[in-house]
This record gives sequence, C-alpha cells and structure tokens, in this order.
Amino acid sequence: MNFHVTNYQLEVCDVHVGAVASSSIFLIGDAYWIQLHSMFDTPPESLIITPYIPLSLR
Amino acid sequence: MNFYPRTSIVDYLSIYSASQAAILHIGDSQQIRSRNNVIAIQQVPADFEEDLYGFNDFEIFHRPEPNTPIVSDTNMQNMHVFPTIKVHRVYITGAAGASIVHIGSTETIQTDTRIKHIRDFRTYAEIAAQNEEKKKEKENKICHP
Repeated sequence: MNFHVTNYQLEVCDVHVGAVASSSIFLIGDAYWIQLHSMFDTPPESLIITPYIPLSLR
Repeated sequence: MNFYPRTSIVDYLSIYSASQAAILHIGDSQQIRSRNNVIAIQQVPADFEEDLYGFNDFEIFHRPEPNTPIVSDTNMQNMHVFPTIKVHRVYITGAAGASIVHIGSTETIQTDTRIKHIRDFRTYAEIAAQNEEKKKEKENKICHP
C-alpha cells in the first residue's frame, strides 16, 4: 500500500495536560513508530472509595 | 525508510513534576526505551521493617511483552510543506511511570509499565491477632514436631 502524507502549517497556541502517566507519551514532533505497553493488576478492593481529588488546580 | 523530521518550536513549557522513570526530553532523539515496575501497597499500619512483597512473587512482572509486530508493508511517504511544528505554550501538571514528554522528533519509542496494587485493609488489632496465631503455631511446631 502506498500512503502519502502532506504536512502543511501546524501552529498551536496553548496545551494544558493534567497528567502523563504509565507508558504514555506527550510528543511535539515526528516519530516513525511508537510501541507502548502497560499492564495493571488491581484487586476489587481498589474500587474508588476516597473522594475525588482534582489533579489540576485550573 | 526515509525519515525526515520537522523542527519543533515551543516558546514556553511549564511542568510541575516528572517522577518514577519519566522522561522530559528537549531535542531530537533516535531511540527511546523505558521500563517501569511498580508494586503499590496500601496498608494502614505502615510496616517498613519487613520486605513483604517482591517483583518475583507476582506473575505480572514476568509476563512477556505483547507481541505487536512493527513491520508493515505500507509504503509511507511524507511531504513537509512547512518544516516546523509550532506550539506557543505547554502546561503539564505531572509526568510519571515510564512516561515521556518529548519536544522534538524521534525515530522509535518503546515503553513498558507493570503495576500491581495491593490493598491490605487489616486493622492493628487484626494484624496483632494474626501474628499471635502465627507465633503460637510456630511454638506448637517446636514442641510437637
């Protein structure tokens, strides 16, 4: 398969990110290939029992 | 493969925290590989004396990486009319656990995270009682082998 990509102007004002966690990426740029793995093992007791705490102050 | 990355331009970057094998990278790179193993223990009576849990005790840390082949028969061609990616301001609260904040281009990224949560909801009294029982068992074993 042939796949042609043409990139024109890309300009962004503001980016707000709460959290980048567990094998995730925040990338400003180009990449050829990306491979991300993440495995969780959480018992049922870990169901949310605490009040919600906001990550961001905004 | 022809890889011609663009130039990234960021005027302002704010990041509060980068922890637990997180990467904050400014500039181009070729290959990134990061790995992070976590055992998170929640226990009301904190016990820092004994090493109760180890990575070898749990299967999740030894499970092989999922096999996702990268090879594809797609012939991709890029044409960059504009040679730059512009972002004026970036605000990030936190980066953690083998995560990557990357300003610039990279050829390959590979990350792997394993997280095991353990919640021990026993109270002081319960733990003390169980320890007492264990002690008694040991004593009995010594007296009547």
